[in-house]
Amino acid sequence: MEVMVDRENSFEDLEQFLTQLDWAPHDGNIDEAVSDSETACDPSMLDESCIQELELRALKEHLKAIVKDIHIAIEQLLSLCLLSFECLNTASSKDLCLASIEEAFFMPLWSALVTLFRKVNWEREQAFEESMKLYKDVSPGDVGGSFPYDFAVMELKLLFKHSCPQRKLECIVRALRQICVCAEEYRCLHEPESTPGTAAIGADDLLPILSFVALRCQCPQLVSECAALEEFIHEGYLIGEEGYCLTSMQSALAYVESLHTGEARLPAETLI
Amino acid sequence: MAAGGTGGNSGKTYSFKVVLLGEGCVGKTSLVLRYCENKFNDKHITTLQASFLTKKLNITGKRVNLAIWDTAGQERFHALGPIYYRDSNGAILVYDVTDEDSFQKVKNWVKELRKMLGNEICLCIVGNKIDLDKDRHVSVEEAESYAESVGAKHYHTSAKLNKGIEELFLDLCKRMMETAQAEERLKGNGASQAASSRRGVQIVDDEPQATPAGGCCSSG
Repeated sequence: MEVMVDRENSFEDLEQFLTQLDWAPHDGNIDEAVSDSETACDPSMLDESCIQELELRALKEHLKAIVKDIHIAIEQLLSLCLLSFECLNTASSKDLCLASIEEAFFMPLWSALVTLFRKVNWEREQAFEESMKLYKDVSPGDVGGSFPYDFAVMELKLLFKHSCPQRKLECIVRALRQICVCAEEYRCLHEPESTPGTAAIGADDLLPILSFVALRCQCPQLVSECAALEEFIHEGYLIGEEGYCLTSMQSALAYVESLHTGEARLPAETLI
Repeated sequence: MAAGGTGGNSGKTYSFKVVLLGEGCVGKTSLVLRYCENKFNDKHITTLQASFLTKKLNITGKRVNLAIWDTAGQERFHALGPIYYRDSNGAILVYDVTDEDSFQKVKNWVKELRKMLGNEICLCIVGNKIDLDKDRHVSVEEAESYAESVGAKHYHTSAKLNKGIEELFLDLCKRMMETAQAEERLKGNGASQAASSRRGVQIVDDEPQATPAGGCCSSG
């Protein structure tokens, strides 16, 4: 009983969350917005950017509807599952059910889904790519010694091999853990005299390294993958390690996207 | 990580998210490490080390799971703050008592947090490094009266000497519980009905599988 109530709430929350995602100037619904722009410029005057914007807006609406559909579908499958097997109605069994459902559910779906996310996040991916090009010459040599975070990059890249959000999330978690392990080894190696207590890294160190790892991943699609994960991460994971890792990943990506504008240059020496 | 408790025969488990804010060198990392591991010198910490830490507590018979989220203090990551602190139940804002600048930063964060999250978030302003009291640049009176003016609590700590840290977290937990309980009362009989948003307070009754026979849920 409790379980069902919580789940329903999560959809309301999701809707609310998605509404917040809409960019501010176009608060109204899509029809209104469309008719507005139609009266504003007659069809012959519609320039390319105008059309692109309308297209993007339609795409966003479309994506929103699809995300909602997916949540409802998974919810229904879960309900059926719990209805059929009453013994599964405990917190941990429910998690297991959900995991198996999602595994099967997303398998045939993900590549199409991520294509849509990529269309919507096209500009962000472009920005990411720009930064990537800008920093492609930052070789391990430039930052001194060998690049110690290759394992983290590898872990992160594994994300593309999976089609289930939960599995993808695990890749991100492993990448972050790997960074922590590397950073610790690096410090122990290079600063054996380092102040006690500073050997464990906090977000001040983690985020710059993670940004660099994201750059080295050389894959703008990461932006869309993470945007999609944000929609499909389980509510229960939000404040846990998984939620923290995804949030950090999102922050690192946003930071990388901002790099090519020149406002925030990445000083190579702060990376390691 | 789900809020569902393990075993136990009665009561609730509170899950709280606490964000940790503070400039680079104020010692926030040492502070949480001290609290969660009490291993100031030990190099072996959890998987995400000092970035993300959890702690389980038992306060007046209630179980509390704390998730402590560290944030990057550097200015260049500042714009990314909101995605870290959304849905937080509490915030610990750390400054260095010997560094006036770091106290100003705290003030900025307070403004931002209040603007984004309103009054529901429990704020703690923490003057760290009181072991360096002789170099103090932020006066006790100023800090305390500022904290009071924004509805925050002020604490003095020393991660180095392990002073004031237990109290800080215990106090914060109690306040977050009070806030959560008040919220529950507002909503009626404590069923976590219609949470206003994706807030982190997840109160889960965990009577272990006492499913009454035939008492099947009305499916959605």
